[in-house]
Amino acid sequence: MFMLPALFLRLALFLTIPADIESIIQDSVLFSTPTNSYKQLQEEFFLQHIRHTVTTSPLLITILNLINNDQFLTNLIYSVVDISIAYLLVSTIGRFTKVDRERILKLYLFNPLVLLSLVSKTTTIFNNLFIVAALNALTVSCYCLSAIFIATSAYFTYYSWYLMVPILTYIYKETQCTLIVIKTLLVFAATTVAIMLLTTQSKEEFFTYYRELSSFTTITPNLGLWWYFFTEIFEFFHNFFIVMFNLYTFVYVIPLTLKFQGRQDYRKGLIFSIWVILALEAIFKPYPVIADHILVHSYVPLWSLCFHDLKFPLLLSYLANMVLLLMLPTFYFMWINLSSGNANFFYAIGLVFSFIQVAVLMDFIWAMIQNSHRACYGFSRKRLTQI
Amino acid sequence: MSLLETLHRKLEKHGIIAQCIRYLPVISFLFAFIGAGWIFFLPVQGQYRDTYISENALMPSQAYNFYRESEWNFVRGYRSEIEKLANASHEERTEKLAEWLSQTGFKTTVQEGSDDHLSNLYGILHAPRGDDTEAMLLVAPWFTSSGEFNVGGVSLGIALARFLQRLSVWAKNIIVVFPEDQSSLRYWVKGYHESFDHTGGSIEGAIVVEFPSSLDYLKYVEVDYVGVNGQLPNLDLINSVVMIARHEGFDTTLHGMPINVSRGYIYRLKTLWRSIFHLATAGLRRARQNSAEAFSGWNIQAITIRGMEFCNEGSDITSFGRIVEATFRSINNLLEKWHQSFFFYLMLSPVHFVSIATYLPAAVLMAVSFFLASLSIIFNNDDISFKNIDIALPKVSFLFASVLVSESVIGISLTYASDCELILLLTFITGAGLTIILPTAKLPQIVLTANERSILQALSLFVVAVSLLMVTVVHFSLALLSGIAMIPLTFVRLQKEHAKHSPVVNNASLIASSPFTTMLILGLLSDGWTSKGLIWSPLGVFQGLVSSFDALNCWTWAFVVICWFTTWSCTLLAANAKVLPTEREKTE
Repeated sequence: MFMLPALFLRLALFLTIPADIESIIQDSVLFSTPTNSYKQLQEEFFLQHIRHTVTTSPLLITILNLINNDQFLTNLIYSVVDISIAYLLVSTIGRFTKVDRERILKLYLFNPLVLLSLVSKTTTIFNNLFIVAALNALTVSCYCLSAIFIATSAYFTYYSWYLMVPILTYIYKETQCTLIVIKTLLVFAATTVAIMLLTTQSKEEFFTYYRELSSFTTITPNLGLWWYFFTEIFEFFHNFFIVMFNLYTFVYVIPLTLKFQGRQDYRKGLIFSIWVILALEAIFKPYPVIADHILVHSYVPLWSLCFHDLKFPLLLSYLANMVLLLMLPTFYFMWINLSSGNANFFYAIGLVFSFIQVAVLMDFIWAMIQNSHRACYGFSRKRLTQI
Repeated sequence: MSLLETLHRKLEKHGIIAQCIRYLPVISFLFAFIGAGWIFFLPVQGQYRDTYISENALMPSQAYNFYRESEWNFVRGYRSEIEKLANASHEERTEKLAEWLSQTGFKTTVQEGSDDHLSNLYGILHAPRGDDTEAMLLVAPWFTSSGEFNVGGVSLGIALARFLQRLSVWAKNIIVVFPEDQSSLRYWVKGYHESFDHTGGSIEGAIVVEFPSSLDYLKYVEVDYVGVNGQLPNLDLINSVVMIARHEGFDTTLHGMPINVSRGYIYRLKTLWRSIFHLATAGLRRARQNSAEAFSGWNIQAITIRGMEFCNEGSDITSFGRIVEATFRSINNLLEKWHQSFFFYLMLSPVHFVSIATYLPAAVLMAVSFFLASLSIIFNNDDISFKNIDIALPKVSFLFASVLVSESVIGISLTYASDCELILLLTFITGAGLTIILPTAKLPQIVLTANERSILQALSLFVVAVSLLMVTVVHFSLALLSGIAMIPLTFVRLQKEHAKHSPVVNNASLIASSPFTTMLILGLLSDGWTSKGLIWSPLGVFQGLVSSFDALNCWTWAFVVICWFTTWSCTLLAANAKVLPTEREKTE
């Protein structure tokens, strides 16, 4: 029932926001990077017949061609996508825990950070939609649909295909049938090929985007951890960094899947491992933005069973996040606009931000392990310190 | 990580965390106390460092300077002509000087005046060896920052222009400006970056010369470097000037410190406090504007050198001129940029400084103190549990947002009325009156539950903490001093557990932490706010705050309105609102 007011709020926001504020948000280092900014998308839309180096997903250009880059329709699409994310989120969360649905809806729909991220019109929001949709499809046992969504999401950001590992494990555990797993995998591959053939003229064009993503060719400062290594450390090591960072994003996928599929309630365990992989991606991917972190933190109510095992109260972690989100643009402003600070300032605060994210994540993992342990060996009041 | 784990377990085992939470108010005050005390620790030997030249290319005082006594006659000649102009109108003076300047070979232009500003004369010498993209600036205002006729400065300026034009070493353009005063200078700098047809590239360094005397000799040199919004010139520029001055036989001081005193701990501490104070109030002293402030916001390293104690023996005005020549030679050597990590410092004496890592903890501790006070309200409170924070949050945030918006509207509309003294006077009297009356009054129109009241108070303190933290890195001094002035806000206790807490303490804390109280104290304790006398001083502070927002793009007023007024008003609302009895109290 909040859907309609939220939709109107979003459309009104798009209509009333002053152009210069919108531009500040769209250029802000927190909300957009060269791979997903709206300005880049527009530029590519207008230059599509001249130039063929595409850095934003070609699918979106196709959509923009369809609606002829109409301003209102674009705004409508963005708003509807954002609201669908909220809807899918709540239905997934509601399937696992008995939490107040309205509260979660309100938290997402009227969250200032979500609204700001929406105003920035980054393409990450489409990726978020497909991930949320894939998780929802998975929990209602529409495996093929889930594979299609993950393939689309992977098409946007590349890193999403990691999620296929826990998802396939989930399907195998659920059905105990190898055939269905293979079928899902085939659907995934077929979707990828289909999108590729449908939206791009040449193979080169398709791979340019992913090459740019995974080899960090556009070196710009952002929320993440990559850029500093490419700007400040010898060029000699660049290939090494590219290999190491890409390896690092993948290295946790299989262990996490193995660890949590052993939980009695394997559904929750595997969804948890998917969540952790998403969170790790948001921290360690080359071009992270706030929208990635929003997706991760939207799923936090799902783990309400862990809350009382957390070492840091959630209130504290979110206050810390809030402070850091305000400090990040301050340091960036000092570096770029006032030119009294320098790159080290911004990277340091970004590092603290990532550290807080990792600390919260570790806290959740440990709480979940404790929870699984209790589920196996019975409840004890004593707080576990090691297993 | 495992070390933290062990520590956490140890703490938990002994119940220290619970203890800490109980004593949070004390810990919070302790943090603030250490934060303020940190400043007293900085001038201790070992905490500060000796200045050094970080950018090797500068090489101050390495080349032989040619501005010798032989040029003295030109200075004297110009001076005797300028003395005749002392009572002439601005146009006449500008015309005369423009004639001289164009004769020396400078491309001379007069910036048209506007309704608020007089015209400015400037000339550009296009460098024989440069690519015409960078420039150095020599400024000789007609009137110094304290309002005296800058006769020596202007004569030296024009004589130096004549001399510099003859040298063939310049790789950067030289611009000479003769503004009427500091606000004209700001107008010129703005015009240079926005509208001029005739420019000389980006300004790498600027020197303002002040020599308000017809005498030939001087005792020492005072260096002024403070910019608005916490912007400082690169420390290398100050170091170069101080080093060159020493080579020319001048002693230097900062912030109006006397010259013939032993430079021990007390001297360093005094300079430090003065520099913090001047930085925090930069741009607000309308009666004594610092010329370096005019350059803030355009990435120009600017410095003022002021001749002090004019007399009839000792070093002469040409030695003073050599400081300018030698500094220009240094800046001329600069190949790329000023060294990037030399923008955050506090000066303890002309040759001692503390860098950001050493002084930053002071303001961070101050901010943390407010953060802890805010947490203390949430944790040490029966009315709040984590479950109902988000129930109270919409109403509390709405209240906070409406206070913020209404006060911002008042604050912004005041900036438009900054020329009208009557409006400012009335606002100031009303504001100061309300500061005293409101804390003791009751506000029955605003009804809050005990829970909402506590969250409103906690939110205000949290906003103070966050804004202080954000301002700390950009403008350390402002964060520190306003933090100290806002400490009484943390003494306001409203919860039932503190029923014994005297309401007088609450009221006194609210009155003490009001911005108007601080303005009053600032106005009465120091001078330079207004030219009208001590009684008008507090109003002068207010006027400085309001007018500098537009005139100098100074953010202090925005900070005061958003962080200080709003949180103060919200704490006031929380203290005086009508509180509904809780469920528990009803049943009792």
